[in-house]
Amino acid sequence: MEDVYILAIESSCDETSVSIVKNGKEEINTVILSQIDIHKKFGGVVPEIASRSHVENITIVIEECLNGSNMKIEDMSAIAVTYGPGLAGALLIGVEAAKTLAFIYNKPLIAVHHIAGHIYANNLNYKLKFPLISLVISGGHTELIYMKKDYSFEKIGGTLDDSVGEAYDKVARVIDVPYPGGPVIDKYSKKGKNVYKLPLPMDDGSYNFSFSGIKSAVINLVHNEKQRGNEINKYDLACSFQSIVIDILTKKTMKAVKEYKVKQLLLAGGVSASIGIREKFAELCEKENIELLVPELIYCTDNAAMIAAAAYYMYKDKKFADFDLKIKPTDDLK
Amino acid sequence: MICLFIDTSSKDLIVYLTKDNNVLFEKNISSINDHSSYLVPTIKEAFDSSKIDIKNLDKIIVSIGPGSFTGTRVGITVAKILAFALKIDVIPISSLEQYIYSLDGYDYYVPIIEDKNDKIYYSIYDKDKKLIVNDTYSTKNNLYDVLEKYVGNIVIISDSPYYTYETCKKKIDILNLLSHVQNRKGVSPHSLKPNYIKKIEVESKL
Repeated sequence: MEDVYILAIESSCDETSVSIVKNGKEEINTVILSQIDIHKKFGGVVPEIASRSHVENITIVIEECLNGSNMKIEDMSAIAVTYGPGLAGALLIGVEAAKTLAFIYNKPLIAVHHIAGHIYANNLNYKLKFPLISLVISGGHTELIYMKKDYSFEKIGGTLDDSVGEAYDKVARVIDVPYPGGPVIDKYSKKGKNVYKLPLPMDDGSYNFSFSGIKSAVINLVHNEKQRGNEINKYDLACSFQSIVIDILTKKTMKAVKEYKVKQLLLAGGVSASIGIREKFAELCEKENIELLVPELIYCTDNAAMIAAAAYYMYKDKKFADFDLKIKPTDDLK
Repeated sequence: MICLFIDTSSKDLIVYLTKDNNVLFEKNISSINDHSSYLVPTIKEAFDSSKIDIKNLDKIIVSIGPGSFTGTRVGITVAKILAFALKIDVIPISSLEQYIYSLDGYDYYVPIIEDKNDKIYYSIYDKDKKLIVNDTYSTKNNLYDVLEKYVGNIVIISDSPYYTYETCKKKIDILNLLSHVQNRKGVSPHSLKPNYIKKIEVESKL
């Protein structure tokens, strides 16, 4: 097969990103425009502002990606885009841009599921070996996905309420850490001790998660300590919270890894950038003799390179979308 | 000269393709909240049915609102990509102004778009179709106060009645519209963006 170059667009949340990837593995160029500074002052992502920012930047990011790649859209084999899940108004910008490019240049259009993208971020650094389990943890998702072969997904569990990333952001707010709180809690956690007692959420033997309870538990704990006149130690609280999160994530994931007899465990999504989470999984996987893959930090958070990587496998199967493609703000990976 | 007109700022999706003084294609779809499913297919249909290669397009005229935020962004995104990829001019037009070219013979033209809770977007043009009151977000009563200052034949362009004022339904006369706007200076696709006018809640709280 001749080389396949895919230009992908990702705009599902607060990053406008365009990337060109060769054969699903080799990144030619990626541009990521993060809106984090805009949303910071609101303490979280404001959907309407995210959409406004995407529409203002979309052609700039495409141009920058092309300029840095020395390629033209004519050279592409296909145009790929995230169609969901994500924020509706944000997804729309990427989808309209991709459809228009595919139409002008008469290229196939490939609609990629955002979670598939996160999993395939690993494909940019490593060779995937099947069967595998992927734990996708980010601001919007907490899912355990089983893959028998390339581009076959079976969701074996997921969060029933908040995502891990949301829990991090909410706990960060309780201890006055600016948005986005995840990376700071991870850092604080290193300096603290696990002294605050928090309940292990949804410790029920299933592969599902629940993180709304732990958020309330943290709020109550802070409240009670204050009433007793005790100062909260931010480092200790961050450490106690992250320990609980790591406990439940590793417990369920390692159970799945054993039950499904997989060759690899893949971490994916923004929260997999957490050093604490990476270290614990590394330790457990070594014990169980399971290969652990963790994407490069730049590919953990939302980016279009992972969308182009996933799109390659759809391209090979000729799974193309029509121009009436609809966004799907909530859609399970199948 | 081949021109493409796109308006997705309201519940109707409007696409025209023209060549010199001829309308090659026109479509008005009531695709409420789903412009995204129809816009690119409709544009493709416009070029296919007219047997024109998209690469021969000379100019894009796109409605930039006011109106539905999400809807407007659909049309603007497509227009931006077309202008960027084909390296052609894109000319923004107000979703209010686009309706004044179907009428003649009045002293004042007042196109209106209804929003929620009795609020409206309006602007005012004089007899030569020169803009005298910019696109504005206000209440109906506020508009009535403003209109008292104008003496002469006033026409309100809206599908709803307005007090005792003469009203005409919204219609686009694409050839007349183009004769007025197609020679305007285009904007860079990078800087093209919707004209929202209305602030969103979180912004007004800052």
